[in-house]
Parts: sequence; C-alpha cells; structure tokens
Amino acid sequence: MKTTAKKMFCVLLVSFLLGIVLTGCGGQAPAAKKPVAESNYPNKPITLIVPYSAGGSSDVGARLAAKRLEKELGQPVVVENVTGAAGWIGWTKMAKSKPDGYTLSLLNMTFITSYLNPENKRDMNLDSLTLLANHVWDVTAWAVRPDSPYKNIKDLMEYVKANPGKVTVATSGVYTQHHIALIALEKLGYKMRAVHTTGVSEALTTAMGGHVDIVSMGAGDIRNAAKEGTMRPLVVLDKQRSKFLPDVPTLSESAGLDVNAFALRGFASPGNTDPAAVKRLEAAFKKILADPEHIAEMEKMGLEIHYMDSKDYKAFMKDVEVNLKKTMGW
Amino acid sequence: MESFGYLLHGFETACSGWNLLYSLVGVSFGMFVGVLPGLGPTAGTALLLPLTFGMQPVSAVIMLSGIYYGAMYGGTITSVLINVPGESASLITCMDGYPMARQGRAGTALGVAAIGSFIGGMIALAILILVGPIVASQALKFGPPEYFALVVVGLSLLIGLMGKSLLRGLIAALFGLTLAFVGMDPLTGSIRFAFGQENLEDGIEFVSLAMGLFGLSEIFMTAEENLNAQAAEIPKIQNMMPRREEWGPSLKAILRGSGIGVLLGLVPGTNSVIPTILSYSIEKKIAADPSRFGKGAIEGVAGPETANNAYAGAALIPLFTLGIPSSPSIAVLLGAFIMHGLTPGPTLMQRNPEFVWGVIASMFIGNAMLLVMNLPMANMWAQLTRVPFKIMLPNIMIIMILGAYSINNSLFDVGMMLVFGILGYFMKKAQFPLGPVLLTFVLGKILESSLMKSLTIFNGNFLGFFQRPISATLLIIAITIIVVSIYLGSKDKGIEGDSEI
Amino acid sequence: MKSLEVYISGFFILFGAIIFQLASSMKYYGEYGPGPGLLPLWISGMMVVLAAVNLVAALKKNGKSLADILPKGTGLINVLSCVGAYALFIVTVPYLGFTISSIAMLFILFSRGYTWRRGLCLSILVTGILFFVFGSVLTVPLPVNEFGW
Repeated sequence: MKTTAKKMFCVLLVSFLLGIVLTGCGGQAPAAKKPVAESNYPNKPITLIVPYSAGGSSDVGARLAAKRLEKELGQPVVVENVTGAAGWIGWTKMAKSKPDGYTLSLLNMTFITSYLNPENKRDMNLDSLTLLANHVWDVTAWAVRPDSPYKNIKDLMEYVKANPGKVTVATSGVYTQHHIALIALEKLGYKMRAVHTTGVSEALTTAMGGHVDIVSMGAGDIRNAAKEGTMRPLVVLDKQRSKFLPDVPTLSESAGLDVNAFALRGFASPGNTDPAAVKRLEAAFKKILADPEHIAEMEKMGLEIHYMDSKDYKAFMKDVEVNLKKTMGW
Repeated sequence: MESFGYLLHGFETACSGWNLLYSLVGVSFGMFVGVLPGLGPTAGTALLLPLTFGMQPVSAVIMLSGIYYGAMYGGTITSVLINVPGESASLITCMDGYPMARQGRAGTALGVAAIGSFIGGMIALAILILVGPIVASQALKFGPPEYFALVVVGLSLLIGLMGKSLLRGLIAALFGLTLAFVGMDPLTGSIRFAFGQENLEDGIEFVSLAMGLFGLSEIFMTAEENLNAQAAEIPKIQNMMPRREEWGPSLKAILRGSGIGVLLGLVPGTNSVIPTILSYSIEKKIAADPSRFGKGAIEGVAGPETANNAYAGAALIPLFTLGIPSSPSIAVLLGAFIMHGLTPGPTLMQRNPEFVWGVIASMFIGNAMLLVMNLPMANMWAQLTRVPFKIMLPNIMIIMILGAYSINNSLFDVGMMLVFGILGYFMKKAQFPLGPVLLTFVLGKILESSLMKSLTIFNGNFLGFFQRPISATLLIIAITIIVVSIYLGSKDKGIEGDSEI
Repeated sequence: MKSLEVYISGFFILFGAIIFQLASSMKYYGEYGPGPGLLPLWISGMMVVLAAVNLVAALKKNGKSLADILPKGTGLINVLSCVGAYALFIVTVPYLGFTISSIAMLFILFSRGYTWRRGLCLSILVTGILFFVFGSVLTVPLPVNEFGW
C-alpha cells in the first residue's frame, strides 16, 4: 500500500508541477520587444482592475480587450479581480494608486449610480478619474416565455397602463440600468413590479420558470436565449433596433415611450494620470477597439463594441449622470 | 439509445492524449486549490480560465470541470484533518470527519469520502445522460418561493440536530442569521450594519467566518497543550478501509446521499449546504445508535460527502440542458463555454454533441481519477495528523491567513478571521455550539432574499406560499419537523447538557 | 468570578441589542413586503431574549469560572503568542511587506517549539515557498512592500 501511495503521490506531484508550468507560461506574456519610445511608457506590466468576479461577462470582455492591449503596448496587461461594494472597492483601489498609467480599471455606469445615491456616502465622482475610452455598449431588452400571453410590446404596455403594479419583471440587481428603466417608466404612468435578483442567470431562470412575467437583460444575452428557444424577445429599450435583435421593435417605435436603458463599460485610470501615458493608452484603445477581430469575438459573446474617445466618453457619462439625477430624484 | 453511441464517441474524445492530461492537470490543480483554505473552486477555475483561451473548447472545459470536481474533494481533506471547511459543502463533514481523525481514523474518513464521492458523482452523471433534459425543465418549477421553503426545511432540520443544548444552539443559530444580514440588502440595496466599512458592504466572508470560528479557535485550543504532544495523542493510524461492520451502513448512506444530492442539485439556485444537512439528519435519525454521531460515526461522513458530490454533478445538468449556472463556480464554466463560442441551452446537446458528450465522458474519467488518486493517498494525508503540532501550527496559520487574504486581496478579511477566531475560542470554552452559526449564516442570505422576492411576486400576500403546491408541501414539512424536534427535545432531560454540533 | 458562560451570554445580549437598535432605524415594511429592518429586528430581538434566559440560568448554575477555563503557564503563552503574532502580521504587513511580516510571525510561532536558530531557518523557508506558490503560481497579488517582496 505504501509504495502505491508513493507512486500516486508522484503522479499527483508531476501533474501538479505541469499545471504550474502551464499556468506560468500562460500567465506571462512574451517579453517586451518594442524599442523604447520618446516617453518610455510602458516599460513594465500594467494592471487592469476588474471590479467584478472572474468569469462574468464584464470580466471576460475585459480579458479579451486586455489580451489585445498587451499585444499593442508590448507589455503584459494583468487582470486583477477586486470585487466588493458593487464595484466600489475596485474603483477605490484604482483611484488611490499611483497615477503613472500602470493601473487601469474597467468602469461602468454603476459607478455613477453608486456615488449619486446619498445613502452610500461615497467620496469620489466622475471628475476624480481620467476616462480613457468606452468599450462596450450593452443595450437592454425584455423577453418573455414563448407561451406568455403578452404577444407584443404594444399590448403589454397598454395592459400595464390599465393594471398598474400587476406585471412582474426580473432584473439582475437593484439600481441596475434595468431597475432604473422601470422607475423611469413608472414616472410616465407605467408601473410594474421589479423583482431584483443577484445576477443575469438568476433573472433568466426566474423568468424561464414562469415565476415572473418578463426578464430585463442585455440584448446579446436575449439573443442567445432566443436562439435556444427558451425565451421570446419582446422589445429593445433604445432609440434604434439592436443588431443582435433586428426583428425586435424598440419601445419608442411601438409604444411611443422614450425610455432608453443600456450599460456602458469603458476604461479609466486615476485622476491626473501622467499625460504621456494617457495619450499612449488612448491611441492603443482606439486601435484595438477598431480591430474587426476583436469586434467579432466580442459579438460572439453578445457584447457590442461602441468605441468612444475620452472626450466623448466623459461627455456621455456626464449626460448619464444628469439623467439619473432626474429619474431618481437624487 | 443513440445517447449511448454519442457517449462512446465522447469517451474517444476524452481519452485522446492531451485531453487526458488536461483532465489530470485540472483535477490535481483543483485538489490543490481545494486543500488551501480560502481559495475555492471558483477562484481556481477563474485562474486557469485565461490559460484555456488557446485550447480547443472540449479540452478547455475538460480541464475546468476537472478543477471543479477536484476542489470539491480538496475541501473535504481540510475538513477532516483540521476541522476547517474548505467551502460550505464540506461543513457537515467536519462534524464526524474530524472526530474520526482524532481517533486515528483520518484515512478511513477520507477513503470513505472518496468512494462515496465517486459513486455520487457517477450516479449524477448517469442521470444527466439518461433523463437530463426532462428533469431539468421540471426543475424550473422551483422559483423564489420554493427556495424559501427549502431553506426553511434546512433550518428546521438544523433545529432537529441540536439535541440537548437547544437554548445555546438557538442562540448560536440566531447569531449566524444576524451575521448574514450584514451587508447590502438584496432587494432595496440599502447597506446594513456595515459601520461605515466598505469591506463589509458585501457582507461577511464565509471563509473568514468558517476559518476563524472553526479553524483558528481549534488551533488556539490545541496550542494550550504542550506543542510536542500532538503526535502522542493520536493513536496509530489504522487501516484505511472501514471496519467490516461499517461497510453495510456506509454503502446505504452513500446510496441515500446520492439520491438526496441529485434531487437537490437539479434545482438551480439552492446551496450545497442543504443536501449535506439533509443527508446527515437522515443518517442520524435512521441509525441504530444516534449517539455515535458527532463522535466519529462513519455514516456521518459517507452520506454528506456523497450528497455534496452528487449535488455538484447534478448541478451541471441545468448548465448543459438549460444553460443556467447553479453556482458561481459553474458560472465560470458557463463563461468558458461562451468564450469558446458555444451557447449553452436546450439545443446545445443537439448542435454540438461531440463537445457535450466529450465533456461528460471526461467527467466520468475525472471522477475515476480522483478516486484512484485519493484512495491510496488517503493514508498519506492522514499521516499529516501525526506531524507534531509545533510544525503544523505555524504553517496552518500562515496558510489560513493567505487563504483569507486571497478571497478579496484584502487584509480586512484576515482581520475578521482573527476576530472570529477569538470569539470561537471563547464560545467553545463556554460550550456554545459553532456549527449552527455557520449553517444559518449560509442559509440566512438565501432565506431573506428569497423571502423578499417571493413577497414581491405575491404582491405582499404571505399566503401565496401556501397556494403553490411545492412550497406549501415543503413548508408544512418544515413546520412538522420543528414541532416534533422541540417536543422530543424538551422531553429529554431538560435543555442543558453538552452540545453535539 | 462569574462563569465564562455568563460572559458569553452577556456578549450575545450586547451584540443583539446593538443590532436591534440599528435595525429599528431602518424601514420596517417596504412596498411589497418586509423592508431591510424587519428580519434583523426580530432575529436580534429573539437573540437578546434567549441570551438573557441563558444568562439567568448560567448565573444560577455553578459553572467553571473564567479563571479556571483560561490556560495557564506554557499554554497561556502559546495562545497569546498565536494571537499576538497574528495581530503583528496584520499591523506590519502594509509597511514591511509580506515577506518580512511573515518571517516575523512564523518566527514567533516556530520558536515556541524549536530553538531560535531553527525557528528562523524554518520561517524563512516556509515564507519563501508560500511566496512562490501564492505569488507566482496562483498569481495572488500579495501585500508586498516597496521592494516588491
């Protein structure tokens, strides 16, 4: 018995060592080959903080971009997941780090919701950060079960207007863009009951089981569900139709309601980041976000690339802030 | 059945050179990650995820699911050896597994856990193959009200397990529930009991609580004795196999555990604690001599361990058949699917049969690998209990600290672990049971969120629970269990006495 | 000296009372069901009541006193050095970095059972291994100091 145990241990040790080697190889990027430019940024690895857990769609999207950024900048771009407080802990960590361009993070609209909410007592806002570029634009859409009595969005909204508070909608969380859209609709006289879950999968499951009437998710995710035949898309909450759901009407065209919901995911670094680094990063993002290969791989995941340079990005986010304040009364 | 043909083809894929290696690497890495307290299957899978970018989809998922299974087993090892649950699924294993280790029977405990896990995993896979899609669609009928009812059943079983020290057990349970409320309220988003600490906004980390309350307190208690004494205390490591008279009860416990695990695993959104509690309670109730439980009853390890592996295997069914992940670690697997261009859902099995069956076949192999590796190694692991404490203590402590740190890359969790360690130390001395704290902590979060969601769905009408067949039945069962337990408990010699958990 | 059980029951009463107080300032009922305050209020309330009952029962019993329960002599030093080394680690890590703090902590702990020379060697060895395993293999960003270790 003892020798078999020893043998097994050796097998285990060898395969474990193999695992280490594989991880080590995978984790490190090829050494920098680019010659030193005028400013020698970057000359060491860059950290990209993702304030969400690994494996989620934000994380995977960020990792795909990080791989391309690595190639473009010639230095390793290491993704670090720092979760907590709906992303705030990750953003704080980034904001407090040295503004030398070696620490970036993913940024999304939850940042704004978080600091606008007076209950949270946050100490940062958009002006505390340097916005670099926008990556993803994830439009919100609604879907119902294939056997649902709501055949089209027009009928649904009429029903909602006549029966306030009767229709249930599953969202992926409190104060997400899905929730805020429902609040905006309520202000316009269309009241629905929001059932908040802790994520997209849970929301989808709850709707698939028929426990709620509607699920509110990203258009790409709804496209995947529709392909599978598990859900029927009902409406897209945007000004124009989504390329993921070309046959699905928008809320404005069918019910005349101008309520748009979306998620914006981009990149940011601490305020007052070294301008030379910022310039380099902006140029890099512009290039990789225009790369058709990257656009295609993100689309496979159901995410739509929508590049905005830092000026447009900041202006847009400021706009979002104003609208949020109006809708929520903060 | 054409599925059989596909399965054979799948085995072909899974056994092809590289895939076997990936499976081995995944399983070993998973075990390694599972043994290290703090890092769990989610973190381990996420770590190797980038590595899989360049691989074939089948190979990638083979390796990742190997980690998933391996980590489950790794958690068992720490539960048995040092009374620290690697993840919530291994909590109950501590109760009889650790006492067995103190009696020199760590090898037996680990061995029976390995066998049970294997059988449970196999049965779950068989069910996936035979009736997967049908069963999964039925499982969708479980919504928030049913989750609430299930958790209530779990809590009622807990009360049933408390035995004589009902009062102290209840206090501990309520304490655990209170701890679960710390953090962001799931329905309104308001932050509760965080005392201004950002790190508490997501609530207290399970790992800090578990490692501190169970692990650190145990270390402190053992440190009181002469640090050289450890080796002498534990009797010589006995044979790894269960005693002759234990084979029968163990196998029966394993079969029961498999059934429980599979049934609960099919329901997306439940927690792995529920099948383990259920199995433990049933084994204790059925046993000829229930007083053995808590002191090293082998069924107390065999049943729950099988249940949690069967649960893990069955939890993959909703992933393959509906595209829904039942837990964070499975969600990472889902991410891997999507990254490689595969959309999980009902049609996945039809559209990409080679992929699906290749992965399923590799899970058979992965399970088998775990068994083959761990059976002989169980004794080796068990030898660790004989290492003098003066070596083990510093190593365990620094590894636990690193584990706690690596959850969120934050020292805050490390500090919390110390606080809970000191608390656990004094609680143990005062004869307060620790198990209920952790159990209600885990269940408490689901309890509140499912209650809130259900009431929103019912528009505030609490009677809605009793208007749905499944939740009504479950709630009635729960109430019955509570009433019966309290009645039986108070009939015994009063409510004082040593705790069993 | 009162028995330890009295103190622990007292702790739970205090903890429960604090939570109860905080919970009472939160919304009791939300739009469709319990608000954030409802469940914590009830649960902490029940905890206070039960702990009080336990406290009374413990006072009546003649339990082991606090002085008896705590370890003496070497045992006490062992436990205190565990807690102390741990606390030392947490406090020094942000400034000295993982490696130094870990060596310090392990040194204190190993020295309980080994000579200080051996203890030092062991702590350096263990720290080195863990630095490699967690830092490089598992790519956990360890709390390092200015020099990166």
